[in-house]
Amino acid sequence: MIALAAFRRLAQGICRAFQGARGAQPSAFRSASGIQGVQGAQPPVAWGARAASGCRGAQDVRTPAFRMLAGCIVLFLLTTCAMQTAFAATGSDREDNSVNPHQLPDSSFIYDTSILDLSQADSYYNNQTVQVVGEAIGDRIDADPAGEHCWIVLASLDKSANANITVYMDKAEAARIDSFGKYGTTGTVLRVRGTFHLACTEHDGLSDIHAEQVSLIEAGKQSPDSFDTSAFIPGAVSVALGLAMLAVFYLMRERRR
Amino acid sequence: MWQRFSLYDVRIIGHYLGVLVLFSSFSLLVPLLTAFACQEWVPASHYFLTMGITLILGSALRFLRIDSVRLNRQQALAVTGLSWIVLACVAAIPLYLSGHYENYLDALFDGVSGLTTTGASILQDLDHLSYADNMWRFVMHFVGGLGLIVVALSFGLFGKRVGTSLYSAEARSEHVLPNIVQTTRTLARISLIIIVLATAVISLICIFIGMEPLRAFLQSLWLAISGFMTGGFAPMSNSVMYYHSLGIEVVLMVLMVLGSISFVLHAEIWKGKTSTFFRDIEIRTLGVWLAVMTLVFTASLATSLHFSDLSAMLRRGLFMVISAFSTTGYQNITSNQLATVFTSGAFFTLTMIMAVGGSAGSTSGGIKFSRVGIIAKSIAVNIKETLAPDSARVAVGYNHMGRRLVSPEIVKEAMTVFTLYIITYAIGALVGIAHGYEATQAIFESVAMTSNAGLSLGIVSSGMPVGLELTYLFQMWAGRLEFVALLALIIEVVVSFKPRNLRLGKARR
Repeated sequence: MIALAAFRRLAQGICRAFQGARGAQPSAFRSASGIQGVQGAQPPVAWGARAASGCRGAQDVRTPAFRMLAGCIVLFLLTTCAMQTAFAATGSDREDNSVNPHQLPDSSFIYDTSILDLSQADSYYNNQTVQVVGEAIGDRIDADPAGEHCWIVLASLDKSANANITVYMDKAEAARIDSFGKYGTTGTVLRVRGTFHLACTEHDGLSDIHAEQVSLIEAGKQSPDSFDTSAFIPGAVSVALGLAMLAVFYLMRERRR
Repeated sequence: MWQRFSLYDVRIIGHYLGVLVLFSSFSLLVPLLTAFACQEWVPASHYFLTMGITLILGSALRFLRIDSVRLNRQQALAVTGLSWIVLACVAAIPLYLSGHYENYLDALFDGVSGLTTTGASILQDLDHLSYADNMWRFVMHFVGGLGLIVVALSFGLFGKRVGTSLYSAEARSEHVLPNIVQTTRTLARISLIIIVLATAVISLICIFIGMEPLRAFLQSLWLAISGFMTGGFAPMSNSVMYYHSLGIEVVLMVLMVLGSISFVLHAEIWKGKTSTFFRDIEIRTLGVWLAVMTLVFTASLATSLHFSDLSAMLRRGLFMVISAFSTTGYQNITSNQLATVFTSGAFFTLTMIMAVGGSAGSTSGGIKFSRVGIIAKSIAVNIKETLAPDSARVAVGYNHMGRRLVSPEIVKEAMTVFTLYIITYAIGALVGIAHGYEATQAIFESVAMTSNAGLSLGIVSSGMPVGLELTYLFQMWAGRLEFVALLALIIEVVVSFKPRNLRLGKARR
């Protein structure tokens, strides 16, 4: 916009410089094409040169026009430089530029996937970086008692899916897990990013994820059973009835002997 | 002419079924005590209620016949055949109440799978199952692995007036001791000793790898029971993979091999008669069969991109071969790896290994080595008879608790059961294909169910078609009874409902 405004002023300035007199028609093209038809008019090049050199006889018009022309040229140059600088800083934000020369080369893709998908994965996901969310269940199994790694099992949050995945991670990361899922306990929910192996060569063909980044999403919860006497009443009644029937049976058998 | 059941027979069968149902109420004490010890009050209330239901049901059935009588062969067949399904119906009650099953049929499937030691499970969210419910699953394995009748006889539940008919009807042929009750008690004793020793070893390993002592002990006990009884249920949904322990896998492999050897041979080894062990037709067939199939399996697996590494092949491949031949069903690979990473040759080899199974007189399922050995011997007999002169009398012998001859009756029995197994494998596969599953998957699953192996590619899961679920349920039941007893029972029941032919025309003449 600034550039357009500057160009317009430049054009007007040039036009006035070619005309060289008050009351002349503003159109630069008319002036350029109809120069010889105007009495006292001179060729546009001569006029432009005379205007640019600030000739006598047109001082009232030439000096402001020259100043305007010079100002426009400077403004244009400044605008162009600023735009180039802005582009260099935020080149990837431009929607119309599909090439970002500042992006580093990266050969792996991150698949934000589910544990159910991984449990049914074929070689497509093999050795790919994946990211899953799941509940830590069971126990922390030491991969090597003297080592720094352990095994964690992540279960799908959708219990009907019946899917889980084994994760090989640092003991330091695993220490952040506050509880493991079992009866009466919901385990810590983790987001794990790592490399999925369909049959890991490092671990004798096991299907696992080697964790690179572990984040805690939700802490574990305890929900132990509460003792409710009324829940045992149906059982007590039925046991009493069954024992009574059994006693009657043995009484009847004894009487027959 | 087919035998029919009279009302008198029904009352006696009902009475003895009532005895077994009452026994199941006694066995429910184990998970009930576990629930109280671990303060799992909700499961405790479920088991208390189930105890009451079984007491009422068992007592009601016993009222059908007050006085005890000796069972004849037909009645024994019916009691044995029906006891598995009746007790599974009762065992499914606390499983259904646990809330881990969509419906009662799914719980019944797991009940049958547990009692028949198949080990396939439709349970949802196993990792959050209570200790009490888990304990019940493995009690089912223990009772079913030994045999419902064996356990009942060892406790003297059928009284003193009991013959061998019940024992034989449960596809048991081994007589460790002359007295049936003493035999059953010896079988139970051998099993308990091995399970206790294995529990101790596995517990130490579990504590070493970082598990809590209570969880280590309970899971070790369950693994030991499931391994020796060649069941296949595991405490965690990842099966044996969960422990990432080569030590545990080795112990379980030893247990599975021991569980797939006949109890009679166990007793012989304990008596110090090792020569009897190595001369036995089953052990020799086992050795040849395992050697050949392991070679084929390894060669096939070596062409796989992911399992061609020697350590992976040995650890994963050998474990799966032993799990398949013993029809246990433990897995140290995922079902997904079984379907996608294993080559088709390795996959098919595993199927064949499951189909043949283990030894007769053990806790294993499948066609059994003894039958395969006898069929091979009968082929030798036929070849010898072809080559020998007409006047020659050809006799081929084999060793199985003494020297025996390959007779036409023995060959007929082996061929009949072999054929019935093959037919059942085929029918189960066709039903799976009719429900839209891949042929290889359907065949694998059908063989796993009929041979009570329990390895699964994922067809057996929550939400499977009801028709397929009922088919697999029948296959597990039939495989456990080795068909003949069950088919005889079904025919007798059908014939009993058929009205007798009225001979009015002949009477008038």
